[in-house]
Formats: sequence, C-alpha cells, structure tokens
Amino acid sequence: MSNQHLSPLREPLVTEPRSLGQLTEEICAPMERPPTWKWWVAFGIAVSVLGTGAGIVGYQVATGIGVWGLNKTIGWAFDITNFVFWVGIGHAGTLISAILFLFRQKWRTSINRAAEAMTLFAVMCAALFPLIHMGRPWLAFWVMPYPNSRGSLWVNFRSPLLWDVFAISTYFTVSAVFWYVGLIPDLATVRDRAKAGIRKAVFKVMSLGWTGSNRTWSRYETVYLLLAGLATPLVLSVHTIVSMDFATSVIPGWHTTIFPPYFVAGAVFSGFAMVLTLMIITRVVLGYEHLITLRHLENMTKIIIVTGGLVSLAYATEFFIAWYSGNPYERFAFMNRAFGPYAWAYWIMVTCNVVSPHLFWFKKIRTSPAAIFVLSLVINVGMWFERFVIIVTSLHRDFLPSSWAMYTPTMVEVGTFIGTFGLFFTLFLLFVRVLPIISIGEVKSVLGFARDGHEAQPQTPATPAAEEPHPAAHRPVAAVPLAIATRKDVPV
Amino acid sequence: MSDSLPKYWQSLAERAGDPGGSAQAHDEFAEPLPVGVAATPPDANSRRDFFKLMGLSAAAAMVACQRAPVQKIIPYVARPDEVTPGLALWYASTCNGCSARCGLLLKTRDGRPIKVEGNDEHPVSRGGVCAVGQASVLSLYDASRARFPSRAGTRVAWTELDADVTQALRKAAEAGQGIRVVLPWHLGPTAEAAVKRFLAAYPTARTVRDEPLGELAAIAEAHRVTHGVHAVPDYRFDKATVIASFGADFLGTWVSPVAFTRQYTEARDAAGQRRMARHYQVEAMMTLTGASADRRFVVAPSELPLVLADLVRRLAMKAGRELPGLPTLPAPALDEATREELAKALWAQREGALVVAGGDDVATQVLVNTANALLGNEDRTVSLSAGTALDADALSLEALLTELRAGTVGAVLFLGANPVYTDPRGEELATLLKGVPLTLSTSDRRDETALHVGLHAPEPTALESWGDAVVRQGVVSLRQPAVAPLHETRSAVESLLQWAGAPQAHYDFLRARWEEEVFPQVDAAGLGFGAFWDDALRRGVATLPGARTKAPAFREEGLAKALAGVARPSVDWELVLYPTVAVRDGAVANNGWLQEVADPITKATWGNPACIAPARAEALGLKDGDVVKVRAGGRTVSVPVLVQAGTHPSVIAVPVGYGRTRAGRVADGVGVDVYPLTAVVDGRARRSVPGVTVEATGEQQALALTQTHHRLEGRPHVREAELAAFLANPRAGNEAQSGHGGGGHSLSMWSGHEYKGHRWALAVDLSACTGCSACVVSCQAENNIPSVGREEVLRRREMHWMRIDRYYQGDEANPQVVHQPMMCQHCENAPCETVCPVLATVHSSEGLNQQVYNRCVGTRYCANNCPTKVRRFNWFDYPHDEPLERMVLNPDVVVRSRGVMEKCSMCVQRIQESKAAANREGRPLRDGDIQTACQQSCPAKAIHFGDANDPDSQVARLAKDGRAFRLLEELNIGSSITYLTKIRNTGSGSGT
Amino acid sequence: MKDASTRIPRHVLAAGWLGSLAALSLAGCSGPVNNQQGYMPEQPVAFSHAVHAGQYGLDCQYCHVGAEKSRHAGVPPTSVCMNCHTLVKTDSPEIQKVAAAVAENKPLAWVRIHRLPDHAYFNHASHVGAGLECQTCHGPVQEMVRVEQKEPMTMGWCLDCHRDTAAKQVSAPKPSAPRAGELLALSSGAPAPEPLKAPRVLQPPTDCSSCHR
Repeated sequence: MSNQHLSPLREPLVTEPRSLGQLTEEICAPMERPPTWKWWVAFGIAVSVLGTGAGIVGYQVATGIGVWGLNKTIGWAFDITNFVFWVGIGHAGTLISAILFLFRQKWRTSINRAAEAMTLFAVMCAALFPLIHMGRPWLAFWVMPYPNSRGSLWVNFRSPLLWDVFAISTYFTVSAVFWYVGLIPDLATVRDRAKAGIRKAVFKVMSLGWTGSNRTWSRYETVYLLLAGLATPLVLSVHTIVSMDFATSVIPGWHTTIFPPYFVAGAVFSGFAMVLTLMIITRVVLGYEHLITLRHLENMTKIIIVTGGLVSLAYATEFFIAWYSGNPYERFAFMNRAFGPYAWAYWIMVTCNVVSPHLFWFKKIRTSPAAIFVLSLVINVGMWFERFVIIVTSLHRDFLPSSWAMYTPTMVEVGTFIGTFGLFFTLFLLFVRVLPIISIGEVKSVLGFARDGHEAQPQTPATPAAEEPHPAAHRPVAAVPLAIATRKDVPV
Repeated sequence: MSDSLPKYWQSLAERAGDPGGSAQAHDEFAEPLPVGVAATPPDANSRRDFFKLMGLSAAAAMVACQRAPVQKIIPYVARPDEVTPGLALWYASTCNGCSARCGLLLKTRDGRPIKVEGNDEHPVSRGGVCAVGQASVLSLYDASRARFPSRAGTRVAWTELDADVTQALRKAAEAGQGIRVVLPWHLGPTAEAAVKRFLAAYPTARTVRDEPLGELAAIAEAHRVTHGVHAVPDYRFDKATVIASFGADFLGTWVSPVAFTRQYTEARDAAGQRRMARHYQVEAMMTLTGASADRRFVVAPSELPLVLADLVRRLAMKAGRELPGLPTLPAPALDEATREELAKALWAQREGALVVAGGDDVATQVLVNTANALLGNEDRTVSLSAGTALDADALSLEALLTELRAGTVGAVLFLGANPVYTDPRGEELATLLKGVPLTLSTSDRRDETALHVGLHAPEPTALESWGDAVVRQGVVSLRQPAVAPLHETRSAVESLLQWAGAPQAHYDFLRARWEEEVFPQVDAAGLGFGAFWDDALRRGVATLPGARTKAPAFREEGLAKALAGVARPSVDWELVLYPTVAVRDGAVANNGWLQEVADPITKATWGNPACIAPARAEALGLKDGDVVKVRAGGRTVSVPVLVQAGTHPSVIAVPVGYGRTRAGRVADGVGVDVYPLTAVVDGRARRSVPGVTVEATGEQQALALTQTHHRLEGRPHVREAELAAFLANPRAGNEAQSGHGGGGHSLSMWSGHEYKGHRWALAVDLSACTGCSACVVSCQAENNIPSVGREEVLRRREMHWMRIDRYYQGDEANPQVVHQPMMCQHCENAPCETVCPVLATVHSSEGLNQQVYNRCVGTRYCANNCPTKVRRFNWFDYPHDEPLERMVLNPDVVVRSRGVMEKCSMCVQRIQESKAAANREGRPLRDGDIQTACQQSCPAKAIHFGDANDPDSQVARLAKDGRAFRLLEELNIGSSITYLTKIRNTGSGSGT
Repeated sequence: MKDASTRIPRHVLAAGWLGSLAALSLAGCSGPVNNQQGYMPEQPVAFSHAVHAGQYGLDCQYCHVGAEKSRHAGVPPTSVCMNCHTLVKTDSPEIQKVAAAVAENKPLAWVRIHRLPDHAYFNHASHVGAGLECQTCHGPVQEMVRVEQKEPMTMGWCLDCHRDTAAKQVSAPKPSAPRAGELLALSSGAPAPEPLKAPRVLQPPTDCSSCHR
C-alpha cells in the first residue's frame, strides 16, 4: 500500500511537514486526552435527541403504527423514505474505502476510516426502519428462513423486501469487517501507546495480537485488498436491491426500470454530501486541516458534480419515458409529481439535487469549506425529498381515483426521524473518542517527508522497513514532544 | 395528533364466556394461545403494558416458550334439542327498521343472533335487506338500551309499574280526561288489535299518530281527498314502463326501498328482456334514486308541485278532461320543452306509467294521484286495493298539543314514538308533559322523549319479540324472536293488554288472532291451523288469496280545496331536511355500522353535512367543511357544508336523525340536530322550508368522507352504454375489452395457476347496482369488521372490505352518476402476493387470494402494491370495551389484531361451510349453494358468486357476456371479478 | 509469533463459549410453539374413557354428538351421564359429583386438553365424514384412564397427514349420516334424492384459507 516514491511535482496530501511520530501523536491525541467542552456539548445534544427518539419509538411500538399519519392508500411514507435515505448515506464510506482503494486513490487515506464508520452508523439507522415500520415488529424474525413446526412454512423469496433483508445484512457485515480489518494496525499502535490497565487490555484483545512483522503486514494487505474487492460489488448491489422494492411493483412512478442505476447514483451523491458534512466538522474541531485538506474536499465536490449530473439525468429520463410510454397512468403520475398537491416537495428536490451541485463548478465555492458545508446539507435535504417524492406522490394517486388520498406526517414520525440523527451522531462522537478516526498507518504512507530526504533518519530500520512506515509507531516519541506542545491547532 | 389519540371503540367483539370455552377475541387469537400475547387479561391497558414490556422479536421468541394457560370446557347441563354447538340455527322473521317490513332470516349461533339476511320466500322484499335491516342485529346488543322498567330513572318492578299505570288510567277515565296513545303509523294487525282493546277498555282513550318524515301521512291524507280512503297504495315499479318521480327517493328511503329496488331493476333489465323502463327524476337535491335516473331535472322544492301541476294539466288536456283548481297555478321554472317531453313520455305509456312524489306535502300527493288517475295507472302500477289502510281517526300531534295546552289530558303513552326529538314542537311538548298525571314511554332506551315522561316501560327489539305486519293486501309477514329478551323488557302489546285489564302473553295473543282472523282466509286444504301456523313460522310469511276489494274510484271534488295551498313562494335558500339511507329518521342512530357506512351520494360518515350546489358554493366562497349558520323560524343551527353536485342552487339540504342527545354513546353528539328547523304549516310539520337564511361563520369542521375525488379522469374503470346502442351491439361501450372470459394477456412472468376443482369468481352488474350500500353493512356484519370511528375515517382508515365507488361525469350542476362496488379482485397474478416477505397472502387452489392474518407481520407492502386499494390495515388494536356488543361477532371469522392486513375473502368461511355440507351429503356443490354476504343481501341482486370452472354457472355465463369487463386488464393482474357495463336509457341518440 | 500462537486459542475459546450459549438459548425455544403433547391434566370428575369406550365399547359419538355434523365434537351435557348413572354405580363418589351437578343445574368445568389456536378452524364433521378414526388425532382414547394429548397437533403435523392422504388417493367411505331428503323420502314416499355416485377420492386441502379465515 505504501509507495514512497512521490514525484516532487505532485502536491503533497499532507500539507504540513510532519514526522511519523508527530502524526501518531496528533491522531491519537483525541483518544488520549479528556474530551473538550465542544465534544461534551455535541455529545449531550446527540444523546438527548437519541433518547427522545427512543422514547417515541417505544410509544409507537406500544400503541400501534396508527400513531403515524399513514392511511389505507399511503402505506409507506416517512418510514421507508428515511430507510432509503440512510441506506443511501451508508454508501459513500465503503465506496471511498473500497473503490478508491482499488483505484489507488491516495487521497482517500485520511478520510476513509471516518467515512466507513459513517457507513456503519448510517446502515444501523436505516435498519431501524424496516423493523419498526412493521405492524407487529415483535414477529420480525419471521422474515428469516428457519425451520419451524408449521409444515414447514418458509419465506417468500419473490419478495423484494426479503432481498432487502439479505442485501442489507450482508452489506453491513462486510463493511464492518472491512472497517475493522483496516483498524487493526492502528489499534495495535494505540495498544502499544497505552499504559497498563483496562485500556491496554481492551486494545490488546481488539488488535488481535498484531505484531507488525513483515508477514503480518503482507497478509494484512492481502486481506485488505480482497475485502476491498468483495465490498465493491456490494456497494452497487445494496441500493440496486433497495430500488427493486419499488421497481418490481405495479404502481405508476415505482414501476421503472431505470431505478437501480438511478438509486445507486443518488446514494453516492448523498453519501459524499454526508461525508463532507462530517469531515468539515471533524477537521475543524480536531484541527486536522492539514490531513483532511481542501484538496480532499475539492475532490469530493467533483464527485458530487458528477453524481448530481447522473441524478438529474435520471429525473429527466423518468419524465421522458413516462411520456414516451404512452401509458396514461404513468403520464398522470409524473404530471402529478410536478404539478399535483405535492409539487412543492418535487421542486425542493429539483432545486437541491439538480441546481445546487452546479455551484461547485466555481473554484471559489469548491474551495470554501463553509460553502461546501452548506451545500452538502442542501444536497442531503434534497435527497431526502427525492425519496419522499418517489414514495408518497406515487402512492397517493394511483389507479382508482376513488381511493386517492393525502398524507401528512405526525409528530411521532418526525420525532423518529430526528431520533435517528441522534443515534447517528452519538455513535459518531463516541467513535471520535475511542478510535483513531484517521488511518495512521496509511496516512504515514503518503507523508510528504518522503520527498525531502527524511528516509535516512537514523532510527528507521533498513530497506524493508523503509517500505514500512509502521515502526515509527513503536519508536519512542521523545524526538518530538516540543513540536506537539507548540502546536496551537491541537486543542489541549 | 398522535398524542391526542381518540377513544377507539368497536362494535364487534366476541362473546365472553361462551359455552365451549372458545372465543375471547381480545386479540386475533379468540382463544388463549400458548403465546404470552393472549396470556394477558383481555383488558386493553394491561395488554398495552404487556407490549411495552415485551421487546421486539427476541422477546417474542422467548414468550413462545411459555406453556399454555389452563382452559375450561363448560358443557350444557341439559342441551336444548335444536342446539348443536358450532351449527347455525335460522329463524324467519320480519324487520322493524322502517315501515316497509321486509322479510328476514336471523342466523343464530349458540343461541345468539349474529347475522340478518333477506328471506327469499318473502313475496315483497324477496331476499333483499337494506343497511338498516342488516344493522338491527347490532342494535340488539346496543349497550345503551334500557335494561329495566323505571320510574323517573329509578328501577321499578313491572308489577309496580303496572299498578301505577292502571290506577292513573282509571283515574283519568273517571275524570273524563283524555288518554292519548302516541304511535307510529305501522304497527301490524296484531298490535293494532291490542291497541283497539286498550281503546275499548278506556272510553276517553284515542290514538295520536306521529311519523318523523310524514311521507305515509301525506300519501294517506291525499288518498282520503282523492279516493275517500285513508290508505297507502301498493306501488309496482316492475310493471311500469315509464317512471316519473318527483323527489321520491324510492330506491333509498321512500316507503319500501328494498322491494322497490328489486322491482326497479326488473323493470330495467335491458339484457334480460331487451327493453327497460325510462326513469325521469325531478328533484331539488341529488338522491340515491336521482343517481340512477335516465333523465334528471333539478328544480327548487317549492317548484316541484308546480311542475307536477303543469304535468297534470297537460295530461288532462291529452285526456280531454277539465280539472278544477289547476289553471290558477303559475308556470314553473322548468322549461317548456322538458315539461312537454315528460307529459308525452308518460301519456305514450299510459296504463303502464307510474308517477310518485316524495315529501310530506299533501297537495303534491293529491296531484300525483290525479296524474296516475288520468294515466289510468290505477290497479296496474299503483294499486289502492292492494295497499294498506292507515288508522283513519287518529289525532295529529298538533291536536294533542292543543289538548295538552287546554290541560284536558290525563295520560300520554308514547309507544315507539320520540316526538320530543323528531318534532319542531318537541320542546313545548316536553314542557306540557310535566302537567300530565301519567306520562309513559316504551322506547327501547331512555331517549329524548322518555327523559320527559314519568314511567319508562322499555320494549325489546324486533329480534327479541313477536309480531306481524301486512306488507301488501294478502301478504301477512310474521315476526318471531331469535333470542329471549336480553334485558328486563316487555313488548308494548303485552303492556297494552296488561293495562287494558286483559293480560295475555304476546305469543298467545298473536297465535289466537291468527287462528281467528288469518287462518279462515286461507284455503289450507284440510290441513289444520297447527300445520298452517308452523309453515307460516317457517316461511316467516303467509299469503292470503282473499278476494281483492274493489278500489274506490278517483274523484275530483276535493281537488280545488286541496290544491289551494300549492303555490308557495319560492324564496331563496330553501332548506330541505331529508333522511339518509343509513340513519333514516335517527331512531337507529346509535349503531356503529350505520354511522360508519358512507352515504351513497355524499360519501359522508359520522355526521350530517349540509349539501349545497357547486355554483352557489363558489359564489359564496364556501368549500367542504366550512361551517354555516342556518336560521329558520327563529331557530339557528350551525352545520358544515359539503359541496354536492346536482343540488339546486337555492337549496341547502341537511340530513335529519343526527345530533341526538339521548341515543347512547355511539350517536350522542354526532352531527347536528336539524329537526328544530322543521316548519309547521297549519298544524303539519313540513321538512321543506323556504326562506331560510344561510351565513358563513368562518369556522371549519373536517368532514369524515370516504371518497374525496369524484371524477374518473377518463379512465375505463367504469363502462356504460345507451340502451339503443346496447340493443344494437351487446358489446357497446365495452369495445376496449380484450378477449372475454378473463384470459388476459398471453405474456406473463409466471406460469399461470391451474384450478383442478373450483375457481371462485364474482360478477357485478353495474346496471343493476343502485349504490344502496346494503352489501357494505352485510359484509361488515359477516366478517367481524370493526367500525373505527370518526377520527379514523378522517385519517382515511375505514376498514370496510367492500366499498362502493361513486363517480360523477358531465355537468356538475346535474351530473350523471355511476356506482361501482369495489372489493378484493382476487387477481390471478396478484401484485400483493409477490411482495409479501412472509407468505401471509397467497393464492389458493380455488382462485382465492388468501390473507392469513396470523402470519402477517404488517409491512403494508401488499396494500401499497394493490392497484385497487382494497386492503385494510389494523392501525390499532380497536379495544372491545363493551362485553355485550361482543356477542355479535361471527365465530367463524377471526377477529384481527392490531398490525395485520385484512381484506375481502369472498366469504371463504361460507365456501368452506357449504363444501363441507356437500361432502357430508355426498353430493357435488350446485351453483347457488354458496352466497357471499354482499350477494345475499343485495336488494337489486346485482352481485353474483359462483364457480367459474363450471360452464353452466351464472358467473361463468356472465363472464362471457358482451357487457363483461375486468379492471386494469393492461396490468395483466387477471381479476376474478367481472363487471357488467351500465346501461342507460336517456333516449339520447335514438328515442325509445 | 510465539506469544501470538498462545493468545489465539483464548479467543477461539471465548468464541466457542458464546456459540454454545447461543445454541442453548435457541434449543430452549426450538420446540413448536403450540405443542402441548403429553398434556394430561386432572379432571373434575375422574371419568375413564378406558372403561366407557374401551371396556364397554360405547361409540364415541354417543357422547360427542357434534363430531359427525358440526365443527365441534362437543363435550356431552351432564344430563347424558345420568342416562345410565341414575341406575348404574350410583354409590360411587365420582358419580355422586355428577348427580349433584345435575341436581343443582351446575355445569361441570372440564379441563380442555386437545385444542388448536382460535385462528385455526378445525371441522370435526369433515374429518369424521372422510372416515377418519377418532384415534388418528386423539390417540388410543379407549385405553386412557385419564385423557392425554398424544399427538403434537401442530400445523406441520396436520399438513403431513393432508399431503400424504392426497398423495395416496384414499377414497371416502359412504357417508353414514342420512343425506338431505332421504329421511323425508322414507317417511312420505317422496322421490328419493339422486343415488350416490362412486365414493369421492379424498382431496384434503392444503390452502391456508381452509383452516385460517
């Protein structure tokens, strides 16, 4: 993974000169110092939101789905909208890790860890909805095929919902493994830095006896490569399957062959937006501007421009096909989207997803973290509305005009949705505290020091080790404490 | 909205402690399961707590490990011979829901009535029952009924009450004070005999007849004028070739809607007899009948008599007769051409035409009689000799009030009448009653009137009591109880006999009277009374060949006098108070089924919004739900408006029977009471009130409508053809349909199902369906469907498995209307089946789309994917907080718990039952052995059920008919429901 | 490497523990949900089917009259016992219990043994009509002094029989119950109903709605 021979023309991925030791210090710092007041505030808010959400879900499960605003015509609305929204967000992480890794995109190194964590947390939030949207969630285990005394009664393998169950659980498992494997070397680093005690014990177990030997590294990298290869198709498959929940139905506006690519593009689109949102916060709060540089942000905005374009194309295609198909129900469904009672939702979607990404064509906006932050939020809103539009406007006016109806969410639904953000940020903030949110080992591999002859540091072992940045992790840190102490951007 | 959850109540609940130890449907497991769910007490709260404690799937799995709680079986000590647990017993009886007196079959299980069906052997209703009749079984278990006799609300023994009454009556009689018995018009001969006995016992006693809607009274009064007899004739729509109705809702509420609906569909059976009667409707507001009319004209209520008078004049001219009293009338608003067309059409079909009019205006009825006389329809389409005479020397309510004011009355007994609520003079009546020594009511609950009387001697409902009725001359219908009285009640007949000093059991009195008076009229060839009686009881009706009395001839003497008051000024905002198909005059209001079944026209439930014309609403800037103040005769009522197509611009029409205060927990406070707005014109209450004021209040009140979009958007879900076109080409209007027999497309992802045995299917004749909604209530009763209440209907969550879609087309001032019964289509390639993750909805080997409640986890994916949106979800656990009302549950159908999907099962329990019976008797099933609930009760016989695999079955034949079409064929869902195109006879294109 | 090799087994061990725990907890629930097999409660009256059905060979339907025509076989009304026991064994305390119950018109509360959840509709008449022995589902009742649930009575158990029977093409015996019109024909000489065709081949349904509705 580490290729030290950087051309001097290539601008460095780590903008400030750092020794290996300094890097370790910086990245481990948040874990080893008591949390700052900023963290406490953020965490407090997140947890209280989570608590409220949990309470609301409890109430809904105890009383019945009736506390939602659904009716005989519209059987899904907020619940599945949120589900698809979160699954979508859960895309960028593995995409960044796996696909960019396979394409040898070095710039991924400083963001992939956090992005993967985000993926896991997002999928957790997503998985909540298929569960609680059931009328009898305590029987959810019936969607699992298991031998039983009913003769034997299996599950319906024709149902896209079942495909979802498998797709999501697989995706989550593989992402989790991929993430964990990536963590191992850093866990070892933390283990070795830790004084004796619980901390040491825990990391000792978690780092699975990592020794840092050549063999360990080479096996590690093989495994990582294989996992990346395994994860990549999954990234595409998950949202393809999710889109089939709709594509395989008969409802005009759902029954659309373009859905799989359309959904995947949308997912990547929203995923990157969310990564940006989080990264911009993190780099400021933890002072990682030199690790998560403007270049990272810029690259991601470029991806957003592309995926945004794909999404826009999908919208256009849908409309064209609706007209071209000559199917009166299709035509009505799409006219109804754009000009019916839910037109407002549709136009919010268009503004956020079709128009706003194009602002990234301007270098000024593309390189201003503030602007990117705002736009990333706008895009997330837009993508939420995309799912809302697809689900609700298609359902509320289908074939028989006699059953046409309107939908308005209740406080319970809104509360549940907000609650999932509580869950998401709680988990993320904990992650920031307990694990290295930047891959120490990998960032070292792209350290700029390679170019100004630091290889010849006396402490570093001979040739093979030159390929290995990790011994630095074990090196006594004595060489650099002053440098750390004088850094103002690491909050102490 | 979620935190202010309404109190869900449900009228359907199972019987607690049912012998045989089954059925405690506090959840879908009517009997305790070894699963913890049912181990909790039936009380809803603790159940909720249980769910709170119980986590999600993991917890459920653990609960599944529990052992079953011990269960007891309580057998009879000595079993009644006719009762076999698990087998239904049927009793033939007679409905008491309105004055029509249809024949019923009462289904009882383990001694409790659970379903009302039509009696096919009944010569008048012929197997049909309306929504009200269907719902009477729920009223039987109404928890708000009075459970014992009472004095001023405190319980007394019957003996004590009788002592009081007889004493007071004697005193009144001796003092020469009047004794007044307030009754409805129709009691039945036996009850009338009891009344006579009572009157005989007390010389100062007289009857006062009061009927909230005054229709029968007006008709009878008119015949007194024109024919000298105080009677209601027998109408024969089946014999008519042209029908002209002036505001008479004879398919909905007028006189005998069930019988008329059947006759009407026969007269208009274009497919069967290649011709159909043309139906003209002249009315002020859209009625159920107007919705079926071929030609419909909208005129103001005050114009109706004028149009009628004009018609009579034209007919007289054609007949070359000179009638007094007519020429003085002004010309109506309706245009010349139309009036002439109407007259021509009727005259062309004279002796086969039929003119009827609704409302409580005597003059109008007089004109109707005149028209029928001029057309020579008498004894053909309208027969006085076959009619029923009404009490000729009864006092009017006005007379009673005068007497009360004068203080010459010593006793007032209300027998099944509730004038304090239904009459505008109710308040005064209530106050005047205070001055009367003896006041008594026999109503089945302490209603508005009973509240103001001294004594309450509650009657049992029709399902608990004996009785009889003359439905048509020579047709005597018999009522027998299907269950012993649930409460300490006594039939009014017994009470009257008791107070008349000749105590006798109702049954004995009835049987004796039949032996003396009915039996002699039948030529029961040697067969004794016992046999005749048993047969009559079994059939529920006796037909007497008795010689027809010659009907008195039409006389024009009284005409001028009667028509004097016809010309009423048509002042803007005419208020029309009308009965709805479900709640009628409000007597049956305390019934969840009737409150929740949507009005066939307005689609409103749980309330009585005021209908106003779209044009007028636009002019005033009013929209659905805007509350207006209606002021009439010094009284003001605030009511939300509903913009209703087909209403006359100057009309505001409000249903009566709502806003009750003493009906019970269901009806109290639902809607607004508009009876006080009724006008009183020379002593008669008039429900059509000109010159009211209407002003917007700016307030809003949500309307609980079950359908909010009223146009088809040009979609081919409903197809229709003009008669002429249909006669020329049986597939007229249905050309869009691909191959018949429902083959559907050839391209399909799935290998089609093969049906070795039966393949169940339905056929619905849109031409016959009038939208009366009897089927909806029948389905609700048969399948334990909960009524969910106003709040839930507002959220569009009504649970009806069967609904009737109503669409308008054309000019919204006077649109064409079509009704389409909509139930699960039991698709061949059902979209719901492919998407259910747990196989809770699957296809049966007999073509049914099965919903397995106990397997359902409630993802609602099936409902989303259902193109006809017929699936219903249990959003909550509708608690059964009223043990008495649980008794109505059908033990053959599971009560669904919260969180599961449900839908039309094509009455699979009936299919299973009939199949088992056939097997047991070792014979094959015959077409017609199985009748679904909706089919059985349909007064129009518009619904047909059968085996599509049996080529001779009616369903199979109808499926091949030229009129047959299926919904959404292009989706290749392969619906099992065949719809038949609607045929109209508007005469447009080619005259008939 | 050395220390690593010693550390690994501990993880394996831990994993093993967790695994076996999970297995155990599942095993606890692995039994069918509604299985009451072997349930043999004490009854209010020590009635012995062994004596009545076994020793004296009374026909089951002498007491369980519903079995042939109704969904429920039914537990006999207490009065039925007294058909014989007004004379037979009147001194036995158990009989006296029954006599007392009849005397004061109080029903006996028997403990229910064979039961299906209420969302499953079982029709005795159909099964008796198809010629099933009561013992097929209820076990050798004629040998039971106290009745016990012999069979699991789970959905799977029902389906096995339905599927086998369908596969075996068993044909039903001639119905013992008089057919509609037969009695009338005998009594009043009215035309008898059409004669029976060859006995039908049993096709036990496996549709959900044949039991769940």
